[in-house]
Amino acid sequence: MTEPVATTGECPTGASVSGRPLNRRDVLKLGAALVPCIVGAPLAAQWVVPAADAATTRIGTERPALPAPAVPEAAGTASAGTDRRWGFVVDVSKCIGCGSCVDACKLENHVPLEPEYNRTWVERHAVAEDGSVFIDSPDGGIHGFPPESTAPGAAGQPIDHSFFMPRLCMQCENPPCVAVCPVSATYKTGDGVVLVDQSRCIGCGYCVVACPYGARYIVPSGSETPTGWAGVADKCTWCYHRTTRGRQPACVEACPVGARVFGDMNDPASPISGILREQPAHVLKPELGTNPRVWYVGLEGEAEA
Amino acid sequence: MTLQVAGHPLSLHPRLAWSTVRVEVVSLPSPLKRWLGFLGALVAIGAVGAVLTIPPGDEVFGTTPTIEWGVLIASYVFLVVTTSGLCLVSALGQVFGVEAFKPVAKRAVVLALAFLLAGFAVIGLDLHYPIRLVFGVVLSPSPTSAMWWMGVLYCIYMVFLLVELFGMLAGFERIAKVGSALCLVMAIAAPSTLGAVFGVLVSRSFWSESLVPVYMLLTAILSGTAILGIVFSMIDRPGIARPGHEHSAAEHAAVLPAIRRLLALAIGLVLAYTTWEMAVAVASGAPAAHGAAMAQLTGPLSVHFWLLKVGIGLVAPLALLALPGLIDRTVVLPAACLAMVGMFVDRIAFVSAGQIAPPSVASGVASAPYAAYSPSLVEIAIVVGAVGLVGLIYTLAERFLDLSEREGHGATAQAAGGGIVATPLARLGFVGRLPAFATVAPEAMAAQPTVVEPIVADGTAASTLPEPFEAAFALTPIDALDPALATSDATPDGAPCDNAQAGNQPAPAETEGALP
Repeated sequence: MTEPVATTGECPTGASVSGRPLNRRDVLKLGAALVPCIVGAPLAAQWVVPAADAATTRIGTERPALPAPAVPEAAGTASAGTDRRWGFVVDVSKCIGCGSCVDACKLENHVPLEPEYNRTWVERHAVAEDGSVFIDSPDGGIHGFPPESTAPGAAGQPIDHSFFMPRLCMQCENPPCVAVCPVSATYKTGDGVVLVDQSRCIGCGYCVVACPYGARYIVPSGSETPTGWAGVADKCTWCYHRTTRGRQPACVEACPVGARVFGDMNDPASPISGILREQPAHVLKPELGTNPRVWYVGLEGEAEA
Repeated sequence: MTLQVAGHPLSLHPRLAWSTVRVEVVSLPSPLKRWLGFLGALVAIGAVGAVLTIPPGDEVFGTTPTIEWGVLIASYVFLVVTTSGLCLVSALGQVFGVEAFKPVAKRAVVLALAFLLAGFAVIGLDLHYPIRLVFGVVLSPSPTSAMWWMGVLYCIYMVFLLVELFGMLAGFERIAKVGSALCLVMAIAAPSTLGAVFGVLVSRSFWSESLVPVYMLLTAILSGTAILGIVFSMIDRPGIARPGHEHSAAEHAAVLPAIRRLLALAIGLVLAYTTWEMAVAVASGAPAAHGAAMAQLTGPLSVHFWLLKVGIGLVAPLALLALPGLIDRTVVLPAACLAMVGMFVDRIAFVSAGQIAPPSVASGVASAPYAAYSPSLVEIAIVVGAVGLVGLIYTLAERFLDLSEREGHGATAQAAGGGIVATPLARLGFVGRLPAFATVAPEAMAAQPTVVEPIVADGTAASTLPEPFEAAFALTPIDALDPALATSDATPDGAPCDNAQAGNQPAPAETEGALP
């Protein structure tokens, strides 16, 4: 009884309330106060997002070669981004597998030169006489293709016919990569292109795994990085920085045979609308419900020849 | 400012703190020293790997754009699902009142936290920008992403685990009870969300099914039970607990038989699941699911699947556990170790198999070669470090916290000590320097043995130390409140006693007037 109990309030650890020691009730009160904070923070954060977006965009614009802002400069009207609907047609019957598109893409977008990193690549489908299919894509097809398929097991097989299938991001209407991103760093623009805000990407790789078309990769560090960021997700943007300025994607310009057609599907007079009216078109993996906006034409003569 | 860690004072003055730590290290029994050194080495290996990982985008991992998730994701799944398993098993005792599982409560929570922290460390290193994750999850939430939900749930889970641990160590039984109920809820919600991270991917047909979250729960019970089996087979070894904190084997006599049965049940369930998972995948028309199953049955993952997962990880431990002639103590440890190895390999096989059929082969019209992945040395180092971290956290907790459940000890000192009232932090074992939180009855004080000098094991008397050192130790440790423990702490080997300083300067001790 020599010292009052209240002196516990002087404890430097501060575990007291108004000079008396913490008791059970205080701890429970504290817990009761914390629970709404924990639960409410994500909800409250929804209103904070615009500010956060502004902040990250500011950081992003300090980086070299970030994709151009979503507002198109050549289009003339601010609403043009929404009343256009980009589409992409690949004519398999025209592709000669030269690899010019892959080369042009890597140069245009600073894609790492290692063969496993590609925004676009070309596959060769070799159909054997017994109907089995061998697919190869040596170095993404950037150097063209050797006469024989390099796919395992293809050597010595009598090949009935083969065709080239250029691949790129499908810019899905219903993109799995956008749905899975835990921090909303990947998103779909009003004109239907899926982009990555690389200043917000955490590099978890979920979108890379989620993409049914293998169109994404994590940028390795090194001399070539598309936007200056390493360790973040990257993918084909249909050269958004070019198309928003009224130009064609680099691969479309580079293709010597016109196998790639890019255009506005809302414009009935555009070449792409004409092709899709006149020829049967296919999308890849339609059963997944992703609604790709890359259409393949000319498959009939190739796949069933 | 001095901290009192489980009855042991630790000055925050660097020199004094170092000297206290040195004394503590010197007083460790040799086998424990070697064990801690081994674990420390594992953590150091992991730290080297972690440093090499920090520059974003450096290609220190073996992952490729085709197999983007490697052994670190598998390890993360292994670690955090084990966390949930520990809570599920602990809840059998804490929430459902199964007597045999009551003694596992504290150790389960400590282990669950250790596994969760190690899991967070691994996933943090796997991400290239973990800081962005913290801000991104809050500032740009993405409720369509299972990974976002997983992150949120695991963070809440950790808070609940800390609440439960606080309740247990501080002796607030109701907080501990509520905490364990909340942890039970999260132990179901969090790993099933983790399963959904894989299950929602339509592009990966081997993962893409609603049963993956259920599989996470089944395997959680398996690995959680197995790790408890390992721990409860080992804790009786002398020298782990601090002198005076040893527990009797009778305290948890019922645990091992119960673990044996539960582990056998969990293995049986996982075996059944694995059988039908494979059968369905083989029959599947989806090329990725079929390819994943064939890769495991006959392809590059067949060693993982048949030898390590099914053979060593499931069948062998089940056979051991089911052998009628062997006593629990003999079979539980090897069976649990094998089961843990099997579960770790299962995570690798699961994560690899889902990606092994490459998606960039158009339309799934053709079979493709299996994608190849082998972990890099850096990835292996991080996994090794994570295992070391779990071991280190748990061993230190076993040594310096009171994890036993017996009556009249630690958390329940109030009942046993008669007239002792301790405030929450004191009950937890942390005591501020002045004045002490602890209050003690005179008769309890009278029962203290007056030991003045065994602070330092190398023979230096406490009284010869500089003034601040003595002052720093002038506390009434919580264990001093319990006379029975006080006497048992005076160990013959000269190890520092928890209450050694109580006789020096009893001034902070204070009689609680309200009690006789």
